[in-house]
Amino acid sequence: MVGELNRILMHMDVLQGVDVGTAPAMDVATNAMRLRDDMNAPVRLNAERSAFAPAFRDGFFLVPRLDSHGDAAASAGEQDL
Amino acid sequence: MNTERYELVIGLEVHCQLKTRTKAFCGCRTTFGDAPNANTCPVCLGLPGALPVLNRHAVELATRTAYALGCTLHATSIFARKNYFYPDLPKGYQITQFDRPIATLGVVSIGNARDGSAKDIRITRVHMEEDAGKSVHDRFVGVSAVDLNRAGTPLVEIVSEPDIRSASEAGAYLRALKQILEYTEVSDANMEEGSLRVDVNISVRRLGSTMLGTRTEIKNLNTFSGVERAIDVEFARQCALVDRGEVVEQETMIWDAMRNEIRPTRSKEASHDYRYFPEPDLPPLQLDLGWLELQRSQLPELPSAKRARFEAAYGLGASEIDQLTAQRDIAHAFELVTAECSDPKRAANWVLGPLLGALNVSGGRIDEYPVSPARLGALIRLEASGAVSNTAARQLFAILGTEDTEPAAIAEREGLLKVSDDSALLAWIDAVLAAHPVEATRFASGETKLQGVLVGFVMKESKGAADPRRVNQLLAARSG
Amino acid sequence: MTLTEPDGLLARSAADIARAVSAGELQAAAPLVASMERMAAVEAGPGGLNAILCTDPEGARDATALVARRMADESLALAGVPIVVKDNIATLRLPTTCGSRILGHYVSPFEATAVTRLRHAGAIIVGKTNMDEFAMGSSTENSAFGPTQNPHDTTRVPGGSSGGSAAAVAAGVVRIALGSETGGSVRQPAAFCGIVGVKPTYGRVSRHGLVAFASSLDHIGVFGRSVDDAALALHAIAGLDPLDATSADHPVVSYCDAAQARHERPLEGLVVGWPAEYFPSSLDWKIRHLCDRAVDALRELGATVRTVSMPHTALAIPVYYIVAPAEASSNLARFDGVRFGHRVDPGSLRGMYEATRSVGFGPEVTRRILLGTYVLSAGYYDAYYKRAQAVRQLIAADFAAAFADGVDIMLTPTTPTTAFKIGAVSDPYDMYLSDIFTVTANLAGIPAMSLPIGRIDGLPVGGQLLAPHFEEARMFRVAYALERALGGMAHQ
Repeated sequence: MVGELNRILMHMDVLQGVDVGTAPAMDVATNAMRLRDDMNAPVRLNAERSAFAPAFRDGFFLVPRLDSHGDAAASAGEQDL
Repeated sequence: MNTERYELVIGLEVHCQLKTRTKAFCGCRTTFGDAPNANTCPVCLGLPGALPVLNRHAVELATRTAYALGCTLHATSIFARKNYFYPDLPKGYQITQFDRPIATLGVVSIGNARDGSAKDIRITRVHMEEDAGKSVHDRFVGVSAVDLNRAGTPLVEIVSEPDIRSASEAGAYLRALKQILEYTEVSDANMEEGSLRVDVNISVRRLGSTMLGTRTEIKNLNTFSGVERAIDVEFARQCALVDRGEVVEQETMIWDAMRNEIRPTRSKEASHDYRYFPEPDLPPLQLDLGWLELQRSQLPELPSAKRARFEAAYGLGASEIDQLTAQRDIAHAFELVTAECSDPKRAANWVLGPLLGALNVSGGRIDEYPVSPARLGALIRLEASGAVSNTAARQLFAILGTEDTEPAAIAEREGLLKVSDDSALLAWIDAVLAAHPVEATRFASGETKLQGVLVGFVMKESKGAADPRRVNQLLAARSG
Repeated sequence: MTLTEPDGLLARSAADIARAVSAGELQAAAPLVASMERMAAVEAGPGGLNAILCTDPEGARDATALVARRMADESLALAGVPIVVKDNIATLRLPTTCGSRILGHYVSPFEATAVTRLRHAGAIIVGKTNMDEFAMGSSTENSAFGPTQNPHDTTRVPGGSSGGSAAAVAAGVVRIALGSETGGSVRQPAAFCGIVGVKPTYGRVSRHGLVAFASSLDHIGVFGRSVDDAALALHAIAGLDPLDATSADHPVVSYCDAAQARHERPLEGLVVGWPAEYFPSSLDWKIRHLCDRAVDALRELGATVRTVSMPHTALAIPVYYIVAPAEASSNLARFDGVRFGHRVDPGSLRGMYEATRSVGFGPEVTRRILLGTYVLSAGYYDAYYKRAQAVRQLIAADFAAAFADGVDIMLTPTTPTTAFKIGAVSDPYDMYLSDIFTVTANLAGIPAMSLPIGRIDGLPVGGQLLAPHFEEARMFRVAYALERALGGMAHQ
């Protein structure tokens, strides 16, 4: 697959020669973000969480136990996949 | 090892939960302590097809925070995705702000000019982001449990420049920051409940050097004192390393408050590539300049301005001012009481003394305490006029807390008005002398030092109503 | 039985079916029954199309009963009209699998806004349709549930990624289907299957409930047996949705345009752009000829034709295949086996992530995640992703300049080829090139549609209309006129 990806990326190299100096900035005036009010109205779940969860107990989603635990794991377990 | 040859360089990242009813990008409640995953929906569960929509109130609170920190607000800011895998990060990315934060360049003043400790800590940036959920590791055997109630709670991250040079400066900065967050009512700013979280970036360099050393980051700090202790421990560790000619590695450390020690996590911070890119589900956040100006103009008086005004307007001492301005509602109550009694000194004493004392016992809020500023002001007026003694006034204060009657009326009913009428006073004096014949005889024979004791007996006999000045005069006339 | 000629009830337009149901001339359940029968016929046996992944006859029957009751109080634009929905659009009763193993038998606990709006308009959801896994593909061969066949030639692909929806409409199972587009996934299969496919302006239709592939390029689109079917469907689903921050607050007008039939020259004064870059010398001369015939038809209707230049068109595929995989690599991170879908658990957290994703995702999805991860990684971001976004603005500016210069609409071929044989295109980049004329509209966010303009060796050819932002009504006006002018020629 690496060779395949490299071949695909070769096609992307054409962009390196493009003069983007003239590229307009994103037209922010026309697509400013709409905001929502601070109201308690979430999208309703039509099924119990346990109905779609692969592993669920006492209200919790379950995952294989982390090797290290405590808040220490918050960064130790981060992964780049 | 000699830490005195080194200088500490510290920058703090403070994550502060904004006080909104609902989450940053969905309508789920932000309440603390609900059943696991009760406050979750397709958006904060990261279900396929769900989209974020930003909470307007979170933007208002972030704006207010940034103005209170003296920052420059940006009319356009952009949300980005920070990508990493972790079970309590439902979407596999955190929505945050990266190269276009909502605000930059602020300042927090710490210390005070009187003792020369005044210093400005510069704020690099304030940006908005969402919180992650929680992983619970001790609930079930062999598995970790994920609760996403907190996932999506709106935060501001406040990043300081590396301007902090000691643990105590870090503590002072955090206390000043917490006070500002409370004054502006943007957050509960409570470390125990996790609504305020602090990461410390710390490095050392030889005194006189202007180069920055390699920094480490300390996480898992749960109290301000923990922050200060962790800094001291890490400072010593880094100094020792440099002393031995070793290098400080850039890494993330965990503070263990129980053991008072710091240890590295297994992952190196540098190994993470979060692959930030603009969040395509959220167009740029545009803030109207008129709206921004309105937010700025509606900012409440901040702690530093209030302290300066109290000093100028009320002529109080530094310690009293610090106590009165520690919380916005205390300062407010003090000003209402002062307006009522026109006596800032007495008002300060009453607010900081009996009123805060009573609140400590009852645990209630100052603006809900039954002795309103108006009634406390009336009581202080009564005391200042000489109609009741301080002792009687304190008794009256206790009664005011239990019934809704005017102080003067209670004083009259309870016989707490100061009595200066000689016939009444002489009757009490006679009764006291009769009850304490030994002291009476010694006093009559010239042992004048007993006069104080006898005045005390008279005050007690009169339940505090006797005018002690006149009692002294009348007793003096009886002494040999 | 021919696979492409609807019989009986479904030979009538969606509007006509809805009118007949509303008037009481037809039982509300009758169109559904016709649709289910037709589906059973075209899907049956080893030679079946494999267009439909699942159906819900019971739910559909209940829905027709509800429609019958509601008709007493309100008029429903799609009363009793059967529809199918691409399997990456969330529905409540039917599974939403995105053509992937990783979702297992996932049934969404919430519904896409577009589906809700169709139901409210009286439409009956008959089934979910096959697709390239996570909409990544141009042939519907990348489905975990096997390829879909083109009703015009079952040895050929229906196009993709919305191939199941296109095939179902082309085979006469339904008049209307929902699809989705990121780079042409509605228009390209519409062209391959000889039907109408519409991609509206970005923001015109809410993405709430559309499983994200590349958020800044994703659109929900519609298929129609005719222009009128598509117009009716788009009108039902268009409009602001508070659940999608990118949804546009722009008034929705009716796209149906029956009135113009009375005009002899309905396109008088219209300027049609003929972008030279979409007609390269390498273009199949037969496709070019059919486009010329369509342009001539527009001229006869009163339009003038002007050659325009879109100089950045050739960069669209490289830009698209950087931006789309980049966003996809992030959007697909949530498929981790923690909260929903299929989990493979070898006993450790990291192992669970790796096994769930390597077993769950097919090769094209894996390829694009890797590509996207690469172009976003530190050190490559500026050269790839950031640059691609800048060039994307140049492509959008090409359109803006042409439209500002007086061009009202453009006509191009939808695809460079007709439907190819199943298995014929094996190189990923060659497959990417089948989107060459369609990705530009996704990059620029403008509305575009494909409609039949003729056949080559019996295989349908689509003509593409490209219009300025939110000018869907103009685009449909031209499409109605062209469809009427070409008449039977569109299918010859």
